[in-house]
Amino acid sequence: MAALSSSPFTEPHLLFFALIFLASLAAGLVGSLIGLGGGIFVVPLLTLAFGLGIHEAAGASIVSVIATSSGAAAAYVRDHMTNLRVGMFLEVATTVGAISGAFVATLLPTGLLFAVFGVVLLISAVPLIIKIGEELPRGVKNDRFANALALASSYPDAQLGRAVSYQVARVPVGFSMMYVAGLISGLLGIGSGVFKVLAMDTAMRLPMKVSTTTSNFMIGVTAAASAGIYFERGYINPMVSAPVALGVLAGALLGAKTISRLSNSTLRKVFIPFLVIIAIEMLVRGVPTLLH
Amino acid sequence: MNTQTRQPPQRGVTQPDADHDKLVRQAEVIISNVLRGGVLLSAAIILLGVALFYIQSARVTGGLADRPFPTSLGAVGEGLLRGDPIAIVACGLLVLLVTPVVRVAVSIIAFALEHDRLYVFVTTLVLVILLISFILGKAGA
Repeated sequence: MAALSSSPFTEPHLLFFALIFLASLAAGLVGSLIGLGGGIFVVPLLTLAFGLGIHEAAGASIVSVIATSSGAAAAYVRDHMTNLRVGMFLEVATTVGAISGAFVATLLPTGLLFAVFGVVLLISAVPLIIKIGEELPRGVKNDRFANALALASSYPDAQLGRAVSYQVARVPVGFSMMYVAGLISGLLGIGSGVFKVLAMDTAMRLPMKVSTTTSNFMIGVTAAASAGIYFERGYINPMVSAPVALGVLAGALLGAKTISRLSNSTLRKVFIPFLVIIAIEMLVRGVPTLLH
Repeated sequence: MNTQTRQPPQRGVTQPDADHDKLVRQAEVIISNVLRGGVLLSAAIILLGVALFYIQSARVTGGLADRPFPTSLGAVGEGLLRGDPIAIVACGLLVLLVTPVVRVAVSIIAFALEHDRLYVFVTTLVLVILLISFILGKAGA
């Protein structure tokens, strides 16, 4: 048994539960739409607003990622939005990345990594902004890996009112970026969903909805790779994680119902500000450590 | 909905497109049901634990985050036998945390039903890597 000490938040605890539930609902809604796990909402909320320790917040963040993923993916997979093959194939890269990240975490300076990936994220916003109004990628041709792995597919777009067929480009680039996404997850604990969406949208040129729902499908597996360690270390405090899990699940179910009414270009417009927020969050954590 | 696609000929895929599409659908339904089942079961157990917690501790003061809680499977099991609400919540969270792993394992079966050997291999590889990560985690990586 572990007793985590000294949360200044003591009374009344039903209010604490309700506030975390509501904030997590918002995190689950946004996360399920744009393929992120919601850690960027949950961690600052629990540490800054509720004064919980970074470990408890990290544990709740893992719960949030898996709840977003499993909650929304149940609907996305059934509705044929998620590209199962792309997701499964790229999970090889993310899980290997996550393991190697956990290993080299002690060797590399985390502050420098936060700064580097923060800058990388900011730069990667540029191609997204250039194609901000693009509804569907045009002129995308399968590369030979996409053919060999049968990655091309189609998804039903209720907003466009038709099934959209798509092909998949630059699979090796996407695969490498997924390794980096897993590495970031293992090293830094945040930002893995953003890199997954970027890999599928920018490198492999999948339609935005397919990129976000396939990222959503994958983030649960990447997070599960570290969930066991978090649990045994006592980072997953049940009474903190319970409102996160319930709120995020409710939000993710809501998101899965909403996505069909949104266009790909709207999703991209929602995605870009969150990408910038995560980049800034990484820079804020990284840059000060470099100046010492 | 007709989701048939005009794809170039694919190596390793022997079924005609329509038939193949139907089989993909079957895998999707199986995987979707596993995820939904895991999520609903977990939410139900967490809700039960939370309800019991508030019924039992209505007059107890003190911080929500400061209660002792189990951090091993054994401790969760012991807590469940005692009817400890926090152990029930922990059990519900564990169900949620293993959902993605169960999903990967079931995907192997789903792709096997499609006779899709390539993706049986890919998915098995993912499961093996996940299991390695758990073993390394135990070893204190």
